[in-house]
Amino acid sequence: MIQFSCTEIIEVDLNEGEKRIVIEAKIIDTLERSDGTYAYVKISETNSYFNANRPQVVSNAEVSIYDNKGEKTSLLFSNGLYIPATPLAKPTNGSSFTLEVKYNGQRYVASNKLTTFSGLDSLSYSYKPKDALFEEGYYSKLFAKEDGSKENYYRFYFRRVNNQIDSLYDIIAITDDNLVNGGYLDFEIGIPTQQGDRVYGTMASISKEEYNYLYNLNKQVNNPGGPFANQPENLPGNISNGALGFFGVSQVSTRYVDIR
Amino acid sequence: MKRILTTLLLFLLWAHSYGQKTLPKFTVTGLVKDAKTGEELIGSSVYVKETKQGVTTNTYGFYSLSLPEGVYTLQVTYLGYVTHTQSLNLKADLRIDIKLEEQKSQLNEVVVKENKTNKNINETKMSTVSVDIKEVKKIPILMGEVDIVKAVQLMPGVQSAGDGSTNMIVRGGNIDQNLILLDEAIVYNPSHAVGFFSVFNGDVIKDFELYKGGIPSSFGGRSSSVMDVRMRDGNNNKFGVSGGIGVLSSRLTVEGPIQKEKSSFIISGRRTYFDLFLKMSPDENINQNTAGFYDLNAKANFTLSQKDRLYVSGYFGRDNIAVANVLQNGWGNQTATLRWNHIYTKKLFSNVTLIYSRFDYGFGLDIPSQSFNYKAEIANKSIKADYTYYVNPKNTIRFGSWITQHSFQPGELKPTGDNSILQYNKLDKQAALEQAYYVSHKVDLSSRLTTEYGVRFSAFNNIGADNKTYRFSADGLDILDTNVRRTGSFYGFVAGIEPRLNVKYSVNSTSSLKLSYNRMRQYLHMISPVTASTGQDMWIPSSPNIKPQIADQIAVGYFKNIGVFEASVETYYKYMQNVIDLRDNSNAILLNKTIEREVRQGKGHAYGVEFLVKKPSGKTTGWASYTLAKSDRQIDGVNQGKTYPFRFDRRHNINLVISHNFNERISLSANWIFASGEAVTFPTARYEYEGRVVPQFSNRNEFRMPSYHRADLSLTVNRKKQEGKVYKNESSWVFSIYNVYGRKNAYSITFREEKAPLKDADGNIVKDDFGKEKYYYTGKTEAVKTYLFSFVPSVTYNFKF
Repeated sequence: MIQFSCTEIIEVDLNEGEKRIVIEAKIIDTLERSDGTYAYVKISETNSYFNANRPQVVSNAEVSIYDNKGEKTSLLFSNGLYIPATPLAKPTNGSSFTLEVKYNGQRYVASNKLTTFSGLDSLSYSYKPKDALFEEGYYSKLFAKEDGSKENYYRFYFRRVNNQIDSLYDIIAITDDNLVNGGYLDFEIGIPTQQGDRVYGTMASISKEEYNYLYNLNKQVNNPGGPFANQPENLPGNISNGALGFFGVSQVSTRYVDIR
Repeated sequence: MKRILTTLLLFLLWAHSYGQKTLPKFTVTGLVKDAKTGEELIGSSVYVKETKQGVTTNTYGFYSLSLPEGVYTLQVTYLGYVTHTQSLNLKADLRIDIKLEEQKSQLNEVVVKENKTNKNINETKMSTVSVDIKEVKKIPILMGEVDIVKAVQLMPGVQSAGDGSTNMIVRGGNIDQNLILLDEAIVYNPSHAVGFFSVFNGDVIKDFELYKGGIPSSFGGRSSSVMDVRMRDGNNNKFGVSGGIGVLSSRLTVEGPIQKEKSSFIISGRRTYFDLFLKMSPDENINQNTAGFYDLNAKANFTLSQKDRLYVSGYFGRDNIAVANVLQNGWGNQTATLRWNHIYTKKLFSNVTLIYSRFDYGFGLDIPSQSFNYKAEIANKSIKADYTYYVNPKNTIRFGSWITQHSFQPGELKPTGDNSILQYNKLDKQAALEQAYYVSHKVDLSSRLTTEYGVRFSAFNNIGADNKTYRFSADGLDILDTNVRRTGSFYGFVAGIEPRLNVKYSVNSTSSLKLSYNRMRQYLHMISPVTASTGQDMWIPSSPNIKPQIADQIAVGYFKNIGVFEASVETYYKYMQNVIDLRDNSNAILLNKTIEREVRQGKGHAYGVEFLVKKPSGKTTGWASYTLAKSDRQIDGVNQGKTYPFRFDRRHNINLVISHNFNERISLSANWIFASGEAVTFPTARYEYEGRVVPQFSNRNEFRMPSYHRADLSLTVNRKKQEGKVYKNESSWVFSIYNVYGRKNAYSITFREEKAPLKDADGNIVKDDFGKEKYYYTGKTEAVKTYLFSFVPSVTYNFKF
């Protein structure tokens, strides 16, 4: 049937949506480091759909994070992001955080909780010849012991360094623990690498809400369109007062391997 | 069971004994058949001139009339056949089988006018659609593939779910709300080839009728419509072979008598050869692909005695799509029907049927580390008993029962090969028992007023199959507790009454007013993650978490015959409860153990008015229709609980269908279709998250697709068999063009970020280490229209000898 289908770029008259605030906020705790709790908040505005300009960055908002003891940390704007003025204390399993953004007389609030995990065990690689879906090359695989006592959601990041070219794997890779609960989890990265590359694999433990947000982000950003299209839907954000975006709290664990 | 029916019958006999007069009455019964093939003619009219009473033959061509002693003239008419007149002197019960001769050539308009039966005006039923199969064959259709579903979609109140799709939207109802029956067996998915062709092979279909409303109590189980399709019985006079060669597929039918004039068989097969062309391609990327379908229909009937007939029929069809020998997708329907017709007395006609039907689909991937096979299926085994009691010409009583066992295998993933990293995963099997009992009474209250009222009682039980069931929190998102249902244990009982009513009032000899009401209960629900018919339909039963769907529909119509034209206007209102949809931001439904968590149920409304003018016979035939309709949904958890237009809510629909026979050899047909665009969700803004451009959408289905319209043409050239001439066989060429003026009707409009090849400073395209061109997202967003069929010519050659 592919033979009969054609596409063309068309003009569509879309009603101009009202400008809304978009907040991308993350607290990321590195499992392997005691001082490694990082946070950033990025605030921007929506554009009309066919406006190709980068979104307007909001630089004059008042941004703070509260931990579960009510301790407030202010975030300051620099280089397009809001960064904590003082480092955040290392959180534990179940630690909750609240984000507060004040802008233009409006207040936007979001909360999320940390789910810890036992981290990555190892990162290995193996050579594969070309097959129908994949190029030949060295493919890396992450291994981790899954915690059977909790409902867990994970995200994977992958970075490849080759002759000073540093590239980040562009796909949002997430999974729940339905299939492996309590077992051994392995995740193969579908990107071929070569001898001489250094490959970094990162696994993050994210909340159920963030998993749902990213799952739907994937669905909408990679919507195949046509008869196989997903229902166009807005993402299930967790920020109050009509702000778009998400406030996530996660723990990450990273390993690397040199391909020889 | 038998006792219940007997009791029911006795009650009805008592209730309607007032209709019986003391005058001695005799009964004349019989079958109305095609003189040439011996096939029974369904719905032919048997009219008594003297008493001005008439009956129509049932789906087995059987009629029964009770009259006082006397001399009568019977007039038997059927569209496209020569009217048969027979006088009889009724002194005792009589059996008269009538053979009707097919009209040799199209009649002139005067004869047509005289020959009119005014059946559309006189019969009680309304909101039905049927198109003579001979007319269906003339309608220009996509790639010349004769399709009754495509013909039905040209009628008011019936819409196609997208360009070329055989999925039907009937009066604003969902796709899964259509009961599709082939020789009484449920066809779960009527589509071939991603929905562009239906499973019904035009060569083997005898007759069909679609009920959009006023559904008789003998049907149930789906809430919007019933499409009742019957296979041909085969010629019981003469052995014959017929077939056709088209652009898409070839067909071959063999039929003939088993015992002359008593029993016959028919076998018909159809196969596409698209895949053979693909294999011939020298390009490896193409020759490793396959796409196609085949199906096989078979039927035999046996006359055991004057009172007993046996029918066996079956359908088997399959679709296969494979990409690069790596990705496979396939689905298929299978049905089997065994029926026994028995005439107990001259007045009591019975039909007992055993039915099996099954639908399965699967897909698989064959790459070294991730090979798997996925499959799912739904099946049912049923026993059905239907009785018609012809009390007298003014009173007919129908009653019966239907008991079915449903079984579901919602999904199973099997890793294949030794080194697949995937794990075996399977959803629990499920089973259910559905039963229904119905009765209806058709009575002529006066010479003008006729009513058929009835009631259906249906009940549904889940049956344990060692499956887990869940109880969810009020918001339907969290599991509160889990239960294991022992094999054979019953749970989740639901039942209800479904009243049905049809009333006809004859205003005069050429016009009537009709009214109907029906309540339908539906216990099976289909969830499809995508809109195309890829066969990935997930059927789920009603359960403690999923309520049965209920639809109430009221319709009023005015029917008028003006000369050779039949005109009607019908208006309807339908209220649907517990309609199903996926909730906002739902999870994947495949292999989802708690799929019930992903669906929500709510209300739906549909209403509209349908105008139709039809010219059923003569040299020029055809119809024109206009429909004005609206359909919406309100479901908590979908579109944040706000009311939204139904996806296939099309406001206006115009159909023009015309066919002209120039002479016995040449006929020309044309269609024109106009439909308002369907309801869609478009983005109204964009933003960035993690550097990705994310669309922000309108409310659900707030926008409209551009209007759809197209014209089709077809030319049929016949070479008729002529006695004593050299031609031994009949043959015809059908040339057709779909979408003559090549309109690029939007199949979908999608929005995406523009992707462009990455170039270096010198303007050369950058390639990665593996030689693949690198792309980047430009940040510019664009709207992309996909259109499918613009100007598709085709030719089909049909033969018969």
